[in-house]
Amino acid sequence: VTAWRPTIAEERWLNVAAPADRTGGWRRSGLLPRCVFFMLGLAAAGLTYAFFDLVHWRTGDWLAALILVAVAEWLILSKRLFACGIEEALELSGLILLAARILHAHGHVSDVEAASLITAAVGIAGIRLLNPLLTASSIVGFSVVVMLWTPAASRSAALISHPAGGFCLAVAALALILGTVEYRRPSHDRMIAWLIVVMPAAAYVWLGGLDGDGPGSTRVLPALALAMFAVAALTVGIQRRAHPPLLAFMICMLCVAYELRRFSGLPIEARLIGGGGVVLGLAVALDRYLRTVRRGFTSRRIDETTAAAFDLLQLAGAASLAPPSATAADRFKGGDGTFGGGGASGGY
Amino acid sequence: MHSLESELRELHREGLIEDATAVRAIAIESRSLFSVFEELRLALYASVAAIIAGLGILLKRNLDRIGPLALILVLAAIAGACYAAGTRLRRDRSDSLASAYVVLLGALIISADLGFAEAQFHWLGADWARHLLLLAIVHGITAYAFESPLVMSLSLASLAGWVGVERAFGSLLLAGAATPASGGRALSCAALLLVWREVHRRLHGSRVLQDVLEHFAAHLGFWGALAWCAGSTRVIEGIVIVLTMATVLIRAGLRNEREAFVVYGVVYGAIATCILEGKIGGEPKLVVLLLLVTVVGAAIVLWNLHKRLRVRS
Repeated sequence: VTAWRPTIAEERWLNVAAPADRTGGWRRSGLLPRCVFFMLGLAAAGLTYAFFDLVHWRTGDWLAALILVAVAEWLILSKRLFACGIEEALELSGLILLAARILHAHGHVSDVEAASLITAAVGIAGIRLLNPLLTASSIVGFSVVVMLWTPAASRSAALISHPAGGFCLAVAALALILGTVEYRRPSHDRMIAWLIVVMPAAAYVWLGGLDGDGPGSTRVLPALALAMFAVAALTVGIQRRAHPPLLAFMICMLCVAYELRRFSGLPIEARLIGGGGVVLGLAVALDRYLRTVRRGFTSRRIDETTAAAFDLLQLAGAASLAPPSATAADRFKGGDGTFGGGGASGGY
Repeated sequence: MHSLESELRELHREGLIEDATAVRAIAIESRSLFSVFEELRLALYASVAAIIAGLGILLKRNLDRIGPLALILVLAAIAGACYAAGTRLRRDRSDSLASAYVVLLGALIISADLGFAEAQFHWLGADWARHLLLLAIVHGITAYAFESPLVMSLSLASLAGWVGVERAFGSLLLAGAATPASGGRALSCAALLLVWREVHRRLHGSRVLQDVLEHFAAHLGFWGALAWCAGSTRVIEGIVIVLTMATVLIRAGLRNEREAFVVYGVVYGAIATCILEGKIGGEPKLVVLLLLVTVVGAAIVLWNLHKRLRVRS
């Protein structure tokens, strides 16, 4: 038994909620409490920093960072918390604060050095905690370092001359390939899964998809690259029966659809209604087609582990589409024809 | 890729999980059964949101060209078609995800249509906000007809809008917005929902819809009480209400093994305590220390309650 984190066997047992004797005493929490514990951890970290800042000790920042990391390690090693949220927030905050303090102590540092150190802090936290979100974030952070390294003149929207976007796409493709390997440790598998989902979106951001003003010819390559990745992800997702490639496919298609606005010439409302209608039609058709299990595929819910959290999210999402409050009288002027919102933009 | 099939088989062999659960879990782990439920849900939500956003822009830009009456009638027809399609899909399969979202789309179009009609013709005059009450009733009836939690949440959001509750939680705590009136509106709405929930329960209504009522009542109640806490005239009443609600919800959450309510109780209780500590004021270092103790305390309490829930389940 390694004391500093669960062994592979212990982590596997943790994932099937086995009795404590098999998990080596390690404990983890569900999705909803994990998120809440993470938020509480961030709040505690912020308050710890604020306290040491207010006492004006010369070593206050260092002390705050070390205390945060020490408490996180104590929770991990002594209380055997794994993926519980609070120890993750404390460790992450402590390491980032430490990195910020080092940067501050060195005085004049370049953007590349600053980004590298913060990325390294997030990466160390991710690897230490076996947290896929943090490891994926550190890889995205590394793409920032790549972008900062790139001479400004070569940061054009063309794929080949945009190393940060190319890097993200390359990592996404590599992750898709690495997804074929069978991993004993579930968290390693999840790290790959997060990369498959996050990196195409990061690639699109770097390739200038969101600035919207590049010349048409330079927009073709990113859209084409993402479309190709989408097809590959869909194929892999269906073949392997894995969710991350399917999510990556959806994200890529969204990016491609956004890019197509330059070529369709349609007004935005037509694209939104048309695109939404097509997706709705496809989803309804797929839901109906898979109402009976076909080759193992089904549209029914079969896994209840994260159902409660996603159901709550869905309710919040539906409520957010409702008309605005009656107190927002300035948004709705009853007598002058101003439309107070009908569940859409509310901006009439 | 990873598979926990061997672990599940071992647990099953030792009798720690039941046959049916084991068969299902092993099928999922071995990927002989694969559900695209969450992908479909995401796609359906995104498509409905896109259509509604597009519709909003369409209404705004083409009002003069098409004319209000034609638009209102066309929208009503589309909403009717959505309800008809939802009914058909639901007939095929009662738990159809597609049906739920097609009906939600219909309900959102009705919202847009009614709001637009009221803005054009001013049927309700100065009481224009009553169209939100009308929407709450229409969506409520639809929610019961389709047993749809999504449309129910739309109905409750419309009701809250009619009562005058701000949708953004943060805005209730802002200095200008945290008035006794805004808190009172949210608390009245929560009380109304609790009455509705009680009637629903006594009539043996759907458990899914009751859940929606309970979640909304809890949030609105806490928001209202926190607005009082953040204001200046009803701080004590606000604190008492938050702490009482937190206690009741935590106990109910533990009794019924519903972790979300335990989380609400602890988190909102901690927020109220933090607001109170901020109001007491004094030496900033001391206040920050008190806040830190509260946050750490909340985490410890939540951890212990979480442990109790896990032991029970």
